[in-house]
Amino acid sequence: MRGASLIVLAWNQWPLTRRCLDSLLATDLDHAEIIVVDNGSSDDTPSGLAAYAGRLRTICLDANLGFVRGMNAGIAAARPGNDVVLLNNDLEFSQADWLGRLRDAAYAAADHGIVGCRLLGPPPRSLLFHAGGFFDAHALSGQQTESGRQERELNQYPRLRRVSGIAFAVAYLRRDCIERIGALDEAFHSYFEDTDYCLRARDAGIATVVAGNVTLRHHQHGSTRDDGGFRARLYAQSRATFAARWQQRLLARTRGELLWHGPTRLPTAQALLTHGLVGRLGARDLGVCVRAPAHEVVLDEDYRVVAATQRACPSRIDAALAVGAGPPQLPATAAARLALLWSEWERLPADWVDACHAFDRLLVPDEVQAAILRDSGVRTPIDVLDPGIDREYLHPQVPAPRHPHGHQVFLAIVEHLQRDAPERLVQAFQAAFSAGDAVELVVHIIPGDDAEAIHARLAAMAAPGGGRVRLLHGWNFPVAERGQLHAAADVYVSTRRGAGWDPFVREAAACGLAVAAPAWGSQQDFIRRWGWPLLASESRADPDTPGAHWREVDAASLHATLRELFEHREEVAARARANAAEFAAQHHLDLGADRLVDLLDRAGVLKPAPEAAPPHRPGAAGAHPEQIVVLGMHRSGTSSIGGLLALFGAWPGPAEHLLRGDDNPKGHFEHGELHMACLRRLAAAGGDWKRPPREAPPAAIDAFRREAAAVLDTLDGRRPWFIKEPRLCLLARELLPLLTAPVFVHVVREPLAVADSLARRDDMDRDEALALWEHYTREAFATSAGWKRVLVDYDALLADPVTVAGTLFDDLVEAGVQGLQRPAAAAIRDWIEAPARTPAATPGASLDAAQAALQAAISDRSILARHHHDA
Amino acid sequence: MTATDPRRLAALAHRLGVPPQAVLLAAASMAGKAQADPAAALAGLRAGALRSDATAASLALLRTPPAAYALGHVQDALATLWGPAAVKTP
Repeated sequence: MRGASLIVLAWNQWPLTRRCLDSLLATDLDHAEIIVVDNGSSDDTPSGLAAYAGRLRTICLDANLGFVRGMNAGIAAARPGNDVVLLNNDLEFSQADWLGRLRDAAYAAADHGIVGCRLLGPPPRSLLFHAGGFFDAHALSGQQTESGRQERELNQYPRLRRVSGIAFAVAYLRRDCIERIGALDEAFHSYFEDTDYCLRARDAGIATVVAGNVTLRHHQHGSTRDDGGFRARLYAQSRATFAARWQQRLLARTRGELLWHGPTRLPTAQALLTHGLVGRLGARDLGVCVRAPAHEVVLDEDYRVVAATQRACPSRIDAALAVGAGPPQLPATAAARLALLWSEWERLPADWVDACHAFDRLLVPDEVQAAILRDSGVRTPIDVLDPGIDREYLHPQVPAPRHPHGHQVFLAIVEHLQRDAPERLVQAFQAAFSAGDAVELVVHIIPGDDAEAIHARLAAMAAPGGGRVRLLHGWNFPVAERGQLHAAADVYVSTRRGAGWDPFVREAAACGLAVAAPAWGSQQDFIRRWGWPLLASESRADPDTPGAHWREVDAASLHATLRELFEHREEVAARARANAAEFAAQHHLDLGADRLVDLLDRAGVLKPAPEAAPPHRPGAAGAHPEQIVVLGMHRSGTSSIGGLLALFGAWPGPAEHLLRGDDNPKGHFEHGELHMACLRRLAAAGGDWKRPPREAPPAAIDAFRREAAAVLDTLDGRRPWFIKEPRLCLLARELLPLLTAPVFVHVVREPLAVADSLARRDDMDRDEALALWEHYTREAFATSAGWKRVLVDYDALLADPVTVAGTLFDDLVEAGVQGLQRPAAAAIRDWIEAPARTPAATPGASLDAAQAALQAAISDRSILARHHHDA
Repeated sequence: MTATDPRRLAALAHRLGVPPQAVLLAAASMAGKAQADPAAALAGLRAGALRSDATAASLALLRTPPAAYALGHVQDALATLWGPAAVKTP
């Protein structure tokens, strides 16, 4: 079992340290030790720590050696082999399972090495001030969130995600990361050592990640506050050291200079949309300079957007991008001139078409817009760029006020009177419902040119007795709170006449709202797949744009849909919520930013991406794996391989614990307790081996891990050992934090033979069996990606037992496994021939394209070269 | 008057009944003129007599009360409709 050494660094401020330790000791600390490094405190710290004897270890340094040397003293004192968690003494632990979740994140992929978490500041504001951030090499300034802001706590950044760097107020460091790149660099006293460490890790192919499911409180700078300038001096020294080492290297990563010509800081849909993209481009080694076509109100201070707005344009611009819903304006001479645009009408006005021809490429959000442009006579090459939604802020877990009486809340966000047709929605809502219905429509009027007119029009539509309508007028919300507005509602409705790309309906879908919108223009494919389509019937002239036409939503369709959404509230909510994650996974902002960089790359205007180090592989050099994990689908011959491993001298556990069954009289080589733990784990998540659950409650994972840890502890007394259970294809990932020296043995078999065997034994439909084979196999290879692993083909083993068994033996020895004995050929034949079966032909069954590709990658063993979870 | 004088900027914006950004815009439009008078610049801006980048969107700022662009919190906005509802995690 891999343990963790938690290192708390203290220098005076005993009350802070005491609060930290008391809250820490109240959390789940399985397999963890606490080491407090007293950095030469002169207050009550030494005597106070004495009272904790037996619950923690104390290292007393003679003087304050600073953060880096103090932490390094703790790392040096940690139990050998333990992972290390660096902790400030001004932390407060209110989440009991914080350590387990950080450990999960550390072992979620082989190349993870450094894990941080979300950190809230002190009450009463309790702002989110850390969620993993980035470093601005120009300003030599580190930001602790992607936005650079301190924001109200809204469960932002809820996912496990890779980041450039984290603050080492809380840092889980995997042992193999420390072994690879060493401890903190003592060229730093305090400050910048964390960014330096994360960059050194990146150079070694080790990823820094943030576990979005862990939130702790950090009473910032408690240890160095009120220090007469001491902290400022430390900061300046470390900054200079950092600059000398990294600044030029970081600046040299810039791939190109992009001039972004468009609104980013107005409260309009269009500006909000591009606001997100600008920030993401800065994170992709592009120098971005923003010029707005008009002066803008500063909404709130996204660090990258503000920096891009204030930055002087460089003399050479590699690409200029004009963004807007109007005719694109050519911003500057550049190697590549692009425009991101969309049309609100069925055909583009002639002056727009002419304007488009001044660009090298046009970017549109979907194929519908591409068709509108082409049909309007635009000849400029067109690419599709779905900008995506920001899933760090827009997801179903955003906390929000809910209606005090539990009424169903419909939401609409409007900014243009003519385009958005809010009066049609209000009219329909008032007619569809009565004042006594438990339903309400909230219309948020975005500040802007039309706001007063919209408000006046809607306010004049009061209809006593009709469905209740509420107007949010004169409110402008921080970008970070947009998700909260959605989360306060149940349904989002758009009656937009325009065909343009509407970010609000997509944001609502990502937040888990049911969405109704007209099935035309850029909303048609979206709403048919993810929501409740409204018929868009009449073509209607846009009074503000001569000759331009858009569509009117059909009143009967709108009425019927409003009623349906109300009358089937629970089913509607369940469907919308089930869609949210899938929608967000397919349409998020990072995909949009990656796509834009890819398009610029293909235009030939960017320097090649900085060469990335190959992903870190734990135990790549010199390590001796002694824990063999056999992964193979049911009916793939894993029992035969288990027997072979036993012949090699690997230990499966005490004989009395091994399962035997009618289908394998010579034994499964499965540890009974591990088998039962696997069964309970799948059942606790609502599934079984035939119906693998997609997700599991954390408590189910923890329980499984505790049961498995007990088994592994007994096995560890006699290495090398092996475990084998087909369900481990799905569950071995959860055991990674327990394994200190693993090697994976993948057992593969022709998938049609697997399907035949399952059909015979379990009366399973062959297509279902193949789908199950695919799922198990992908999960298994994804789990072992980056770790030491070998592959053995069961069919080949049956055909030539001695040769294939010998190859498996050699592969294990080459992987570093020691203590195995090569068995005699007769023993191998004796074992393999007994349970051998001849694969049966499967008339009619065949692999689909994805399954065939997977099988091909297994057959040529190219799957073993993959580093990431795309197996 | 400079853009780095936030107290004067805010006071002037309040007196003129426009958003602070409008004052900044006006000052920017008078760039190069020593001792520019932001109030006069605003008048010019309203008349469309200043720099060409004083577009419709910029002029809209002058027509919009500052409060409309001030950032408020969703929770506070919804409290005006529903009362001080408790924030819940779904």
